[in-house]
Amino acid sequence: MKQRRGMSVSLARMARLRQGTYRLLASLLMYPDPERLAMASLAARLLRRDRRWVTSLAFFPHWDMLLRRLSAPGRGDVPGLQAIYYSLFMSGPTQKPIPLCEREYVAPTMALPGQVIATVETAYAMAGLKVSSTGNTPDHLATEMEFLSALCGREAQAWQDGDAAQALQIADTQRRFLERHLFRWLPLLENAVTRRERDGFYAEVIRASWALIAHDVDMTGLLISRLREAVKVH
Amino acid sequence: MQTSVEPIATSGGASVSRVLVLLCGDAEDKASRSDIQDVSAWLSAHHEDLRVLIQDGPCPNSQGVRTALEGFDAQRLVLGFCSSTWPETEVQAVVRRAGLDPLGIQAVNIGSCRSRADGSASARARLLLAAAIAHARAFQGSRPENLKATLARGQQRISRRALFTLPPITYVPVPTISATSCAAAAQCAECVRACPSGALRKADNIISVERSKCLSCGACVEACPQRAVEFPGCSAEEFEAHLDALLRTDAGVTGRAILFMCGNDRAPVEDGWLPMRVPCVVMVPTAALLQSLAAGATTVGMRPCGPECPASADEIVRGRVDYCQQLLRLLGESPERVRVLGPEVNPFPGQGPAPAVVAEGRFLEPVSLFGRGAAARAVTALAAAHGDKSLVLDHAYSPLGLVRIDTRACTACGNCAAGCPSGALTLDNRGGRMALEFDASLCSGCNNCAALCPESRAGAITMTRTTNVSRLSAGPDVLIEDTEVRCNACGAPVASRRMLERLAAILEAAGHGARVIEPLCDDCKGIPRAIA
Repeated sequence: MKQRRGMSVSLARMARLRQGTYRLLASLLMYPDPERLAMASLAARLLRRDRRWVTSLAFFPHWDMLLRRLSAPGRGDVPGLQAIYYSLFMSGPTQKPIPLCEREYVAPTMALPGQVIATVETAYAMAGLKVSSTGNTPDHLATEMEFLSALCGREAQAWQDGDAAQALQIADTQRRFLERHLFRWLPLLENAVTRRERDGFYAEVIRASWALIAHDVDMTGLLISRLREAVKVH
Repeated sequence: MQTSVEPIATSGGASVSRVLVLLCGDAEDKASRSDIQDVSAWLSAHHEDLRVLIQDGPCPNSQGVRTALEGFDAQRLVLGFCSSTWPETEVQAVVRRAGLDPLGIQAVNIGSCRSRADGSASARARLLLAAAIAHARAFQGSRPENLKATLARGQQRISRRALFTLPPITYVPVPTISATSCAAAAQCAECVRACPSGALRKADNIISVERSKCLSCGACVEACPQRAVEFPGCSAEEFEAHLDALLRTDAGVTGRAILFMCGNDRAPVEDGWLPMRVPCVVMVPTAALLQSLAAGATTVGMRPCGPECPASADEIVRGRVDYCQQLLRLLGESPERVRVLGPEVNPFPGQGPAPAVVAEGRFLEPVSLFGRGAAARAVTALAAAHGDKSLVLDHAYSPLGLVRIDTRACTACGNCAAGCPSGALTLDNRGGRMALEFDASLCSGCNNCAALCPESRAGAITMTRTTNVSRLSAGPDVLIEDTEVRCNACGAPVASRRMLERLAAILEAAGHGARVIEPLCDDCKGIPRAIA
């Protein structure tokens, strides 16, 4: 089907956008510091350059809202954000901190905490990756988002190399990880954060994360079935 | 996957007000003779917080939508096109960019409102748009898990170049289950049973939705007795608001013939029908058909998309329509007031068979069409309009059931009440007496009670799909009463006397000899006691 000029977007470009977004979200889910926030602001501005075609994707509203907030001058003081992060996720004065690790939401009804970590680590190992010593556990949200960022980067490279079969394999890995892990526990985290601070910065971060993940579960599935169909033909 | 989150509207909320209506000026040129200026003026005069713009062709036009949204801070959007197809993907993107939720867009084909010399084209366009506005206002927003990406229609064979390009994506709604309203923990699984694709599953008393299997048909919305299924774009509330407006709005339309049709159905609609598009006609509850008739609709039609329907709606739709036809016959009405239409057979209803009884006025207030009690209200309203208080109808597609107890076999254990999803059966403990009560107006005929009854082999409880008008307004009926036996130690309720007698009989039959069963509650069991 002939695409209209200016309307078609390559899958490599789409994968790069997702790579950048996952990486940005991962950095925002770690304890804020001036350097990290400055990089996040720059990344947000760069990502927003693509927003014209991203409007066709369902995660756009939450994505754009967060990036606009990060890109705006006077985007918020670092000590203030640090205080919020600390009270939300590390140690609150009056309320229990909200955990950012999968095992706190999945265990003990579905698996033991150790099993959760082992499963996640296995997924990383099968992709040839392992957790670096950043202090975050393998099932920390930032780590899982970084993993997806890495996979998206590989997917983008495969598209650029014209290797549809390789892209299919990577998309399949993404989809399985999304379905088995993030898609199951992120809504529970979102619920917890939104109850504490409905319109706050971290609520926006988590909402944008959820919007992207919910979308990617479907998107990777669509691409996989479309690719499988095409690979049969070609 | 079950979420425990209540939906957060992405825009608007319970008091949505600003609606932008964009009309295609070409509708006048399509031999419809609907006066667009008249329609525009009428809408503005009869609705608050509304702006109507008439867009010059070509229609459909996503650029026109973008321009219109830039000039007005709308919370909802209604589009009046001159044809049945519109650039859904492009318009979704434009709307999203403007900060609106694409699932809340309502599109109406006003070009189909042709006049037949009675000048009614404008009136029908007004009514269809008024209903779309009501629908849009009832939309509460969606969450990311309510959207499923699908390939846009018209995707052809993939070329090698297209393989490396992002395909046009469109989004369809996917239901989510409200954890606070869902009765899965009380043994309800009506949505699971109703789902034609097996997308809904129950595990550990939680209902989960497998998105890849979901057909977005809305059958679960129709089946749920608790209105716990959230289906943005065509939720129970939106459906009710839309139909209510179609039936109640005084837009100068006489002889309303309502046609429920599948959202994928692009075949033309014969002039005279007032179409109401739903994701799949399988989600149209029987209560909607009956309430429409009770409100004075001359004819109600159901048009499934055909034998290729992925939800296999044909049989269910025909069953529901047949039930309504039987009901009408018993009320002395023509059964032709309700019919199934095929995609090709689409007769104009004309004035339709005139209702034997014209409902006095319309609904006095918006009615509920989904959930427990909705079917009973609809049947009662229709029967009352005919002065019939004694109608009884046994039908496989009766939306109502009747439960009977054999008091010789029933032990009043209360299992049936504990597992009744609509609360039709309740076990009441009052002052030493246990009473099993049944309210026929709430029974949906699910038969959970019989499935859960430990004495079902003995026929202790039976349910029949029966509509009995006199029982609907009679209130709860006591089916069986018994003495409540209390704990010998602490006085807490233990069981009914019949149940303990039954247990004793079972033990004796099993060769354990006659025993005295000492009634002890769960807390007191296991504590050593001296037996006198």
